[in-house]
Amino acid sequence: MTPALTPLAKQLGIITPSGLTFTRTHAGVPELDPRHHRVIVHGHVAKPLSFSLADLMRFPAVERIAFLECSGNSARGWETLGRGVQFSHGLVSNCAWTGVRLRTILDEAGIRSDAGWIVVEGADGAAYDRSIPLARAADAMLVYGQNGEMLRPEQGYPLRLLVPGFEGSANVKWVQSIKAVAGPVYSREETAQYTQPGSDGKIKLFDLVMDVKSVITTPSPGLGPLARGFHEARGFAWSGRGRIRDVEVTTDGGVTWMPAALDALALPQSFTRFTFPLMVGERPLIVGSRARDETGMLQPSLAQLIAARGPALRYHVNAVAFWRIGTDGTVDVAPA
Amino acid sequence: MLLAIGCARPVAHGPYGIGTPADPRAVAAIDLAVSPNGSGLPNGSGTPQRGAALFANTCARCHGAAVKLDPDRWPFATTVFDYIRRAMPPDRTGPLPESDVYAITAFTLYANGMVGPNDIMDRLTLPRVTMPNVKEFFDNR
Repeated sequence: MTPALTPLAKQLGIITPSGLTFTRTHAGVPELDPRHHRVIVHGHVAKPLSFSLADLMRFPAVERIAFLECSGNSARGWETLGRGVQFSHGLVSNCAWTGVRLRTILDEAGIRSDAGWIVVEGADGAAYDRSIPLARAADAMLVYGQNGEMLRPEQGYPLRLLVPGFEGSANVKWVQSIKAVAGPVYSREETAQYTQPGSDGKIKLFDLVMDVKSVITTPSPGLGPLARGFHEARGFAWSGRGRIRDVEVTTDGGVTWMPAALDALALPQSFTRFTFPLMVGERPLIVGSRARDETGMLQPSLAQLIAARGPALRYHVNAVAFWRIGTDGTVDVAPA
Repeated sequence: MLLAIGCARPVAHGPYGIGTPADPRAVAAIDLAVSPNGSGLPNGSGTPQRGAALFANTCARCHGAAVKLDPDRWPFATTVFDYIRRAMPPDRTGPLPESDVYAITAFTLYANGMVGPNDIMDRLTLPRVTMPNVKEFFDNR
């Protein structure tokens, strides 16, 4: 299925509308009848249980705002689909999610203390499955609501996993099975896909958390020509490791950096909006943003990423992006 | 059982008493995960030779003569069985017979030089196949 990417340049606030949420699938979008669909919790549990959607909606509900970012966002290749920040960065969305804590369901089935992981499986054509380490997924939810309405089919209706901060592909859609296990199963989607070369040349499995990242969404390539004079640069910053602590903006291609203004709503594992004043037309500008999260991690340059992981950069690409704004107001990609 | 009918309240199984005990057959239908230690592998067996014929009929129209397994992407042979069983072929109307999955797995491993031409793959032998680059992987936990 053709991917759908979020048009970030048109997103005005931190919430991505449901219909503009990015979509990637591995084996189609199943049509599931919520009257008949079941989620079975089994494996290392005292009592294997089967839940309908109505059952799950009876549990205490929680809501939280969280981004989801495809592990392959900002990797090379997407630019063939189109020009602009939608294609360079649009495999990320930020939504309000409603559902039940995973812990609540696992406790209901009596998960055993020897179960450190769960295998979550979807009802799509490939029974797509991922192993999730419970010690790193304390905030995990089984969600049925997105932005105040039921999930849409392409987002996993009736139920999807949400592990705030984890790479998008770990947030299994159309969940039909949650199996409590002692260790990971090493499924195809966590061995043949979604692995990373490590700095020692070894292949990292379960590199699940999306690192700190930001991008200026307006102005951005394709939006010009801009009128002469004042413009407010706007963008989003996010980190799978927590809150955004600060964002800096450059207008000279990274020689000097100045603090951007952060919106007060700075939630963990969520888009945080930042702004910075620009004067267009006086001289050519090369603008970019770099974010730091509450763990102190600073968004790297492309050169730093390549030095750490080699030039392929298939997944977890969080390098600083630069846009060139000419004195005529045209906006284009500047080489990083 | 007769006594149980008299008190039809469901047995409380958790703090909220929500959900119903899972039917073992329903669990079996979705319990597909196979671990490197072989847990989750079903009965049945297959050889590369039988797998070659099945592959030619069922898989070759998309995959050609054989699937290449990049050693940097396949640390465990059990994952090959797991993925074929859960996902292949995409237009199936029901699951492949388990012995067919073993046979296609055996053929795929043989075509990549990971087992011999007469090696029988089953729930005991498949977990013992060592993939060439397994030591190049590490868990980032």
